[in-house]
Amino acid sequence: MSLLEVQDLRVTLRQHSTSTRLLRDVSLSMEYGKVLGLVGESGAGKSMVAKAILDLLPKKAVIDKGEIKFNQNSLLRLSVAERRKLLGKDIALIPQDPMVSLNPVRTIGTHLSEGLTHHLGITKAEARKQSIALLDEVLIRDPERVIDAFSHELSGGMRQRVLIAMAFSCSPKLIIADEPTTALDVTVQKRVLSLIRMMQRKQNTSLLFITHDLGVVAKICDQVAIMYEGRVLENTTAKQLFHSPGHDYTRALIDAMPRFDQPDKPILPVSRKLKEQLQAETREVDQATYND
Amino acid sequence: MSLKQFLQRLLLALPTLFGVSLVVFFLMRVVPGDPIAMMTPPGATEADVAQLRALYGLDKPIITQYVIWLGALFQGDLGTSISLRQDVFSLILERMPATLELAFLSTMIAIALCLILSLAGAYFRDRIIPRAVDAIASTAQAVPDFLWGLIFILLLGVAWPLFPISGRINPRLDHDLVSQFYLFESLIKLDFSLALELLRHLLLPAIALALPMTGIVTRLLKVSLEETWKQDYITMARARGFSRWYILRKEALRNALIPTVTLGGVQLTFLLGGTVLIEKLFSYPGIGNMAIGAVIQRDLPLIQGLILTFAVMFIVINLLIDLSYSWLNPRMRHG
Amino acid sequence: MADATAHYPSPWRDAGLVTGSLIVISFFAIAILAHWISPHDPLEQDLISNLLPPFWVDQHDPAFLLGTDSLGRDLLSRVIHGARIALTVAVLAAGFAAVLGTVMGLIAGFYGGWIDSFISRLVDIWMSFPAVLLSIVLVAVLGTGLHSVVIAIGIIDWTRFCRVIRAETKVQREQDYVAAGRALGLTGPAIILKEILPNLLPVLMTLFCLEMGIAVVVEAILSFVGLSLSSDAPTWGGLIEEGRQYVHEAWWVMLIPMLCILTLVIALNACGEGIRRVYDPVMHK
Repeated sequence: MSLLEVQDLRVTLRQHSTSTRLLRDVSLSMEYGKVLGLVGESGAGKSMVAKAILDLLPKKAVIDKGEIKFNQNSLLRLSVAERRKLLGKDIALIPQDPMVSLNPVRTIGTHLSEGLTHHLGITKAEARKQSIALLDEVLIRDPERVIDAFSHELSGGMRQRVLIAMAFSCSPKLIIADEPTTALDVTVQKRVLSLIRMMQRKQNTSLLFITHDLGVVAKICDQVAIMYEGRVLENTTAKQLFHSPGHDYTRALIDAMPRFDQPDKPILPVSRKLKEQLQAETREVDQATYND
Repeated sequence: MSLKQFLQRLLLALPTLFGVSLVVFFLMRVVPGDPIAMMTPPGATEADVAQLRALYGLDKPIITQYVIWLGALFQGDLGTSISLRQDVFSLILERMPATLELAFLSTMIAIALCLILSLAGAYFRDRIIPRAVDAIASTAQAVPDFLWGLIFILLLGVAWPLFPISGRINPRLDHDLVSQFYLFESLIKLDFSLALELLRHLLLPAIALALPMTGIVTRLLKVSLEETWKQDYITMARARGFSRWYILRKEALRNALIPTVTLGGVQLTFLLGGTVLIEKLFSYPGIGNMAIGAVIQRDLPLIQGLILTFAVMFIVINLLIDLSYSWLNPRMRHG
Repeated sequence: MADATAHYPSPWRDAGLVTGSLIVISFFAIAILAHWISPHDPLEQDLISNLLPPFWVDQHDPAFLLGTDSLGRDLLSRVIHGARIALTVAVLAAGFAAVLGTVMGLIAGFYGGWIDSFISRLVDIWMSFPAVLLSIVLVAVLGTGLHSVVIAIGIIDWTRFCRVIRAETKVQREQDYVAAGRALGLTGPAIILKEILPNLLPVLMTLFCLEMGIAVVVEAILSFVGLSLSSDAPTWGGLIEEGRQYVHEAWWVMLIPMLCILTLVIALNACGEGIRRVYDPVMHK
């Protein structure tokens, strides 16, 4: 039985009488406690999938077709209020850029405890206690001081730790991590990644990990979905992916990976020919589904 | 803002005040028209005039006059009003509470209207309400307070006489107020019927004063809220399941207020300047009304005292704006 | 630039601009023809028929279409002559402010550097004073009368022109044709007059219309508080002041000049905004 099921999700951006497909019949499935890597270049629609789940799609983006099931319930059929009850409690987000994802005029403590009081209905004092414990859990030194600090007083890595604490605070069933390390220094990336992994294991949370980095996928993912132009090209286990990639594009991505164990291996970018071929396929798909 | 920073600002205000006093003093000496000639009865002898001049210190060299004036100023002595023949300081002290109450109420109305309008404009995503807010704000801003006052007098004072249009309190009303802060005192004493009577007098002039400021600040605050709404931390809050209203209030408003306070401060000084006219229009017994009388009567000591009073009030407003700015923006608190 | 004008849409299609300018033109016509079209001498008193109501109210006198004031003077004639004073002040004061502000703005925007910072700082300080208070103080210093009203408005409001003209000049001086003018050996003042100023005309016209509206209100305010012309003179502000005293008995004495001010100011704003809509190239992109 799966926790999250995305079925044939089609999203279109309608703007000034032109319409652009953002997601082309995307299907994904996530098991309890597993990590699904969503991989693709920028503009592949990875973040759109996350936005569709989190009810954050842009105003002009319309879901034409498809279904998102969370815990056997259709998210798209829930009312706005019912959906908000899930967000932050059962489904949480770790954002891409920690530098701009914390409110500059509110303290770290407010960020953490407002989620706790809102979703768990505990008192402010209790929420503050739990918040300090959470900060401690994400390995922030001196949580008693940090809790009253503002985000501009913390480094990027610290801020991302706070955001991770916020995401895990209500013990959600699903966490969506949208390229959580891209905006960080290389040295910090590793530590943040292992922290996410550690917390995920500890709480046995399902993790939807969005990235463009196959190296990260190899480290933490159980399942992988490869996306291009809003389509899922391949959906397989991580092991399978690296041993016998099923799609030319996947193979090309693996070839484009820098390998520390083989420093002499040339890094080959995805060839233009392959991309043109994929784009032609996309057009065919669009034409075939034009009248749906 | 730390106490040290606050004291620094306070010290910085001193040279400003000194500059204002200098400008005020010398500006008033180049005024054409002889105030002494105006107050002497026809048929007064040269000696009478000279005596009066000496009485007001107008016979000494101008620098000496300034030093004397400044020295007296520090002792709270602003001279004697020529037209009213009373101590300027106590005259201003007696009239100032009326103006402060008017300006305070007007500011509160402006702030309340700004918040309601801009939050409504940012909250509703349909086409009608945001546009209505824009229309209300531009109208409020386009019509100056003087014309708002006239419109209110004609509509709500004469055509549909809901409100009195002159004075501060019904003169036939018996009351036992001891201070000049009628409204505040009646509220403290929990005398609500008296407070209501005072409010009925205050409401029209206060709204007339508030509207232009409301218009301009609402427009900025609404745009600022819309800009803030695009920030990543708002998206983050939405992803955490908070309602639009909660996010608007708790996450967006304070950030949106930061660029708005500075403009609000300038508008607040304009509002205070506007009391001069509005008090005249509503025959309201404050220092603004007194200022116009003083200018027409060429009552130099009174004009000087009033300009200094307004300067002090402007400095206080700017200080308060500085304070609220650093309260709103934690990045300003240290360093 | 001559070819740039070709892209402007026709000003006749802009409803706001057309209505606004029609109203403004009629006010000007009334002001110019005041002597011939006003039914009475605006100063002629008729104490027997004082505070007569206007034509739409019972007991009006057809000889006084808009009624009379407390001294029995014909309101219509006073309002007509008031338009004359209001528009004279508006044109002169806005002109004064425009010349002062444009010169300062051009200098600041074109030359930049310390002179720019100096003028900008001056503008900032200037604009932080409440205009009404400042104008009352200025008139107190200058003495009452039309000339001081004009000077006061000009001295206070030049900043409105300066700010916008400075910003526009900064944009203009980066344009190709200015560089071309420099390459041809034109000096600073020549470039300003020949290349930059013509391009600023639409902006200037917009500002001028808006400033006239402000001047009309300020003049009314100053004559209302008794710091403009003597109370005999038929100014709109003076009429309002008189109407204020008798507002419960004769509300029309206040209503009529107020409507005149409101109409004229709204029409002037409509003109200004209309010119901006039609001629501002930025808005058409």
